Amino acid sequence: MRITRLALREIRHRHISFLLGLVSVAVATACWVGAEVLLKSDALQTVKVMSVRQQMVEQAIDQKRQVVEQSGKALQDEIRKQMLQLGFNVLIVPQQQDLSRLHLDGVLTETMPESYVDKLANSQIVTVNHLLPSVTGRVALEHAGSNLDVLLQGTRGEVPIMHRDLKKPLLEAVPAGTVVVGYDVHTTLGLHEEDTLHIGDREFRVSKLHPQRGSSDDVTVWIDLGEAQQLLGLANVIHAILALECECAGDRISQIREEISKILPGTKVIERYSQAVARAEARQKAKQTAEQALELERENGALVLVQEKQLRDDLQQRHANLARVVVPLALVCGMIWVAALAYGNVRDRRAEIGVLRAIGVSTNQVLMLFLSRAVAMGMLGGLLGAVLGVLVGIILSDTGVSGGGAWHVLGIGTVRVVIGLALVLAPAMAAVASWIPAVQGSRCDPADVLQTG
Amino acid sequence: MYLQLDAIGKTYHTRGATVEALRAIDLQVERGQFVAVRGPSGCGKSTLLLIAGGLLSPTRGRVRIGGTDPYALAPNQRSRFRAKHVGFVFQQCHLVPYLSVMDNVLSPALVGNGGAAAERAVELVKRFHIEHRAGHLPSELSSGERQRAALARAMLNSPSLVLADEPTGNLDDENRDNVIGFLRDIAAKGAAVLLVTHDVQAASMADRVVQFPGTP
Repeated sequence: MRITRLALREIRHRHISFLLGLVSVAVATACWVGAEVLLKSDALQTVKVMSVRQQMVEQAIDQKRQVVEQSGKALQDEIRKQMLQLGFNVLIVPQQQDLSRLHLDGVLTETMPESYVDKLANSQIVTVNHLLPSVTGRVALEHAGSNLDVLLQGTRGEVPIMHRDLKKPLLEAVPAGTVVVGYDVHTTLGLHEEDTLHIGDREFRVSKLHPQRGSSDDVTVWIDLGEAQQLLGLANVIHAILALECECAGDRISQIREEISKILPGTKVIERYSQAVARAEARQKAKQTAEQALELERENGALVLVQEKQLRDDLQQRHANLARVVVPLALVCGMIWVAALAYGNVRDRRAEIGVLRAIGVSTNQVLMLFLSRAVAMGMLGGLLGAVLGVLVGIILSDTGVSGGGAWHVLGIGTVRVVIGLALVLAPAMAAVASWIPAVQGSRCDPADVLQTG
Repeated sequence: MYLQLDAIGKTYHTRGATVEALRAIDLQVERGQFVAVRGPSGCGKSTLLLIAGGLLSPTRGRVRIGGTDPYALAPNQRSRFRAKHVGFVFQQCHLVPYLSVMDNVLSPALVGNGGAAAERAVELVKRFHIEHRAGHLPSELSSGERQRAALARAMLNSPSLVLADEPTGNLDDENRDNVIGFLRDIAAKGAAVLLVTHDVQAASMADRVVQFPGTP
């Protein structure tokens, strides 16, 4: 006969009392384990939700970036077209050119070698695009009885910058033997396309009539550069190189001047059309606005993430606060109930304890008899409560997955730890709750018990 | 003398009143002797038995069991001494209700060695004619069977002192005679047996009868 056998027989005999105690331990353990699982799954759910939100925000930012890039490209194309309509806005002329002559007469007087344009095209220049060498001069035209002084401009078409990808030219070259005529010229002289126009001693076919531009272009006639050089007596020299500034940030004209002065010393750079400058600035501004919009999207995304995290943290905090109240309450109530049952058990077994003490069973053995009952109650109740707690915690936790998936989300390691802790702590708490009744039972005076029956 | 009680006195103090249950009782029982103490209810017979068994410390006097004063021992030593040398039989039997007859008989083995106890228990249930009830719970036994089971339990550790407190109080004549016969048998085998009873017939079967004051 061993104490354990005696304890097991007693449990079987008073199984209702034992089951009541076991249920109270199971409920208390289930509350604790369920709360732990719920809090753990809250943390996992937060990670999961934040990951999804992060992806959504990144996608939104990516979409915004694509929109901005597409808008930027569209804007650039639009600006390019506008710039194309405005024409070249940078003029490279010899250093000694008196600009007042240009403003007063509309013509340039100083020349520079035509090879300058090739030198510029073969350089690593980055601040300008679309190089167009030209010569200009004032000539008198007569046609169908009408006379008119016009600006004769000779151009050979755009010279490609060699280190860049080829761009679509702003201006097509004027083929030799043909002439492109400004608005006032063809309206005053009554010119039509395919008409023949005499300039000096040579004949040209009118290939194109420009609409009114409201600038000196209206009184300009364009011909091939070589033919213009011959007519004006300017072989192998040019008056200017027209160019279009690139998309430069900051003090653009200073950068252009600095770069060109290194490549073509003895020249100077003049900015021609303020409208073009304004357009370029608008282009920069539009780009900045798009980037600001993108940055705003990023900031909004970050704000959404912070708000979501705050919501999740609040939810976790509420659950933690609830657990801080419910779990200790359940544990204390469970322990009180176990202690009450233990008192009842001791009271019911006074005669038995008296006889056992009379036949020589020690107080420690009696104590073990009661505590082994409590430990058995705690272990079984703890196991049952831990399993129930895990299941209830998973059901309440809304992990977004079910069945085996939920176990996977929580991690079998976590479940093992929780159940393991429950199997240690629940028996310990049941033993603590039963301690005082067990001690009282073990100190029961056998003489007193046997005398009172 | 195996059991020697010298000038035993016991006084209870309850609710401000003092009750003297025993006064200067001398009693000796030798091994192999069956002594009956007879007296009316409330005369202190049971108190004397508890004192003799090392369960209730006397207010005055000295107890010797085989030359040892059990009250000079520490509580756990006294428990072990009691388990080894003293067997108790009570009027109410006090069998453990959830243990079978065999397990009840074996219950003193919680203290002693379990191996030899099992064989001894089988021998005892046969000796006290309850082998057919070995697997039954106490609630399923008759009064006589319960008392025999209690006797078997008292004898498991082969005590040298058997103390019986009104063991025949709830029994009919036949069962009374059986129980007293067993006690005589136990004494004949070398144990000192002390029976306290108010039953004249039961006491008359003892080797010696001690009359308590107030006995008719």
